[in-house]
Amino acid sequence: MSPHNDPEADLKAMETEILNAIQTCINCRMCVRMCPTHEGWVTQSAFGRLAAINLHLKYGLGSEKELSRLLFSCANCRRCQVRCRMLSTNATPSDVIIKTRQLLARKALHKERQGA
Amino acid sequence: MSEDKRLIADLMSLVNKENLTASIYERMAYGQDGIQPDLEPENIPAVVVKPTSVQEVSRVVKYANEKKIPIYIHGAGTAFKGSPRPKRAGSILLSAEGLTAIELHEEDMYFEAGAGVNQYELEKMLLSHGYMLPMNVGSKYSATIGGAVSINTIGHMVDICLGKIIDHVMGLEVVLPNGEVIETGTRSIRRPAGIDYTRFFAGTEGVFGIITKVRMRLLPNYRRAHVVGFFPELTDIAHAFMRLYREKLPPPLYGELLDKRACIAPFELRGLGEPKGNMGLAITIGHTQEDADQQAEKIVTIFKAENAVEARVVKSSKEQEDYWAARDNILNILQTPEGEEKLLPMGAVETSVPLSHLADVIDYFRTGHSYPVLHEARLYVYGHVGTCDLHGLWCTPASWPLEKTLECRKEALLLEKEVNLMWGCASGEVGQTAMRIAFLRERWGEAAYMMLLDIKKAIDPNNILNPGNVEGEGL
Amino acid sequence: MKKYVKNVIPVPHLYMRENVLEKGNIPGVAGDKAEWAKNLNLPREAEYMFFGGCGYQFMRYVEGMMKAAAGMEKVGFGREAGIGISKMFGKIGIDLPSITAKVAAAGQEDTYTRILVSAVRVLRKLGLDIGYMHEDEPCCGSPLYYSGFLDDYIEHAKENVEIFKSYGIQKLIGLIPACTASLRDHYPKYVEGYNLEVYHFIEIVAQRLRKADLKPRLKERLSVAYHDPCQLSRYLEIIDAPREVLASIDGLEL
Repeated sequence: MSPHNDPEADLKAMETEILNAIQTCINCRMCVRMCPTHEGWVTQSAFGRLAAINLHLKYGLGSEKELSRLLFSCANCRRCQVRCRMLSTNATPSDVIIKTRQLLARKALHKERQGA
Repeated sequence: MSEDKRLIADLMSLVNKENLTASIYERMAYGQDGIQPDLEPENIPAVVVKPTSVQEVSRVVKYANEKKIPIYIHGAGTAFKGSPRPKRAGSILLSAEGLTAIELHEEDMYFEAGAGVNQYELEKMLLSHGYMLPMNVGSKYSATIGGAVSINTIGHMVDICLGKIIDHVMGLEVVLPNGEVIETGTRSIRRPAGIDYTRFFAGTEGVFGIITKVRMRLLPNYRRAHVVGFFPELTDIAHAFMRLYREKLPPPLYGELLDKRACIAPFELRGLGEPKGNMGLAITIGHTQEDADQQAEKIVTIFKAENAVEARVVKSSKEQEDYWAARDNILNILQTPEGEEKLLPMGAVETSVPLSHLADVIDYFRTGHSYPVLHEARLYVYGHVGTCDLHGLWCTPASWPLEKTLECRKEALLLEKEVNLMWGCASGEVGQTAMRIAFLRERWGEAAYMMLLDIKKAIDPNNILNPGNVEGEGL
Repeated sequence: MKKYVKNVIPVPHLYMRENVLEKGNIPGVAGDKAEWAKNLNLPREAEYMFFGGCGYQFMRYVEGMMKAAAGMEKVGFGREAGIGISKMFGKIGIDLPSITAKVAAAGQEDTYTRILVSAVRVLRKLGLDIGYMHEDEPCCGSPLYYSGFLDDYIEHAKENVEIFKSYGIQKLIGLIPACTASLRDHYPKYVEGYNLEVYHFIEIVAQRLRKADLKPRLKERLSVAYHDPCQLSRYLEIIDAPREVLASIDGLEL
């Protein structure tokens, strides 16, 4: 299924891309209240999801399962992305969330191929 | 770890279970304030509580005081001088965003709002009733009224036009560090003379107590007129506003400055073309449109007298919005085109200087100082020139090593301190805790600082409210 | 898909992936494709190839499945159990989605495929030469992209591009914004040499209406409010065209 020559390098590259994009996020939290999934807790927003991705990838905090639940509760409506572009630093949060789903899936498939 | 589990179990009996979370991701995200670098893993709060009543806040604080557990108080957690960031391990992150009730009392000319009410929502609500919110910060889409009162900020607005936020606060509901709930102030539009406990908490950055409710006067909305001008030199804009006040003209509600380089990205984003120079903006207010327009025309004359290559009253509401947004959304400048190196906003200076020295400070930011790393970084000058408040933002390439970028931030803080000491002033927009404590001590002296620590000790003997902030800990 | 993937991708997404890869559509329905177009005489070769997508064609199945799933949840079956049962039936040749759809949709006229028919009519009326791949039209694959299956998506995209080549397609008009965004913005990133012109239905209509002599007209006056869809306004960034088109309709108050 996967045509990668060096899957570990691909995963690393994907992770770096995601972390670089998150570095642009300045935690201004202007994407929080306008997220359609927001019901009062900050992880129900692009900022919260990006903070979770950041600390999970950098420090291994939290579980992949819990992270994935956060990522998949995002509706991909892109409201956050448009607002971030107009009012803030254009961290492309919606794309980051989708990319991280792809990263987690690739990681899992890689593990399974290794028969781990 | 079992300490944390005990804490969570205890708190579950003190608050509604929907108002508490121990999820690692929530705790991380709440703790991560708006400055680099990442929150240290050891300082991630043990639990986040979002009480929906002052009684819940009181119970949590009483408990924390007994057990000597640190509490970090958030509105939205957007203050960016380090105050929202937890500095001790095992803390309770207390978010005021669950306190959202609003009550209008038009017959007595005031409204009451829970500390967690969002500023933008509040502004919209007031406008819909013909009133205005006498403050406007760039982060209003996220920030809360409790946070604003706790820091005594009005953001962009000109202080001497309508006063700072504290001038509109008639009273507060506060939870003391021992958990007791008190009410301060009055329901009359004439506030108490002499001792008024309101002032012990408004503007003291959550160091002495937790504001849970704010009572503010209702301020009828004004008519406005907008002026834009483009100037060859930044200092021309400073001179324009110096002249405005010299001529004893009424202060505009806003007087803004944005250097030409900082205009480019936001102008492009909004289809405003290339900036013709450094941008000066003013918004005047009047009880009648005629009054506002007349003042605006006077400002146009002044702009032109100070070398503006273009200065005019902006009539179209779309243009008004666009120019304002270009100035307001300063973070747009960090949007680098593809292929260009990303910039990080590492060195931020904000200082409110004496009127006669507006131009001097601009020059000092750019060429006068001798901080080497700052000179290497990319500088954007902008700010609320109408209220004598200037910003310098030094941006560092993302490829710089972390130590160098942190050095940039350190130098900026030193530069800010230097400017404030040289010209006898201070920051007018964001609080003194926690990154500005070194300045606070130098500016107003050790005796005063000791007094501050004594008062803190007296009110909060277990040092549970925002510990580390008044000590100036952290970054 | 074994335990690692199940840990990070929710089961309904895994189900969608299988459906897209094995049956070529989101609800995993066998057969019935391109039924809506059977009386329209759409040629397989034309200047513009109409891309109908899964959505409108199979919405009645999706609705049926959702209703059935809701019913099952009421009696204590979770979504995973529902999907498990569906797959089990699938193994013995019973296409559960088709059955639930027919049961759920029995007696209802399919409002969704009507939209496809109307879209083709509008494009033809505006003088466009429209073709359709009929049962050969593939799923664009975007559910794979959003669900995290990037590698499957890339492979699927490459296969699709081969199908487009075999049809000699140069221009596509998509109706569903998600499909169109996929074909216009993602395929070029992942498929080398991909150079198709991709338009969304409403932008072509707006373009043509500006030049045409036609004046769209309603039989009765109607007052409407337009709500920007997420994919159309924030992914495709098409905001003005729908308003232009609506404003040009005589009898419509926007």
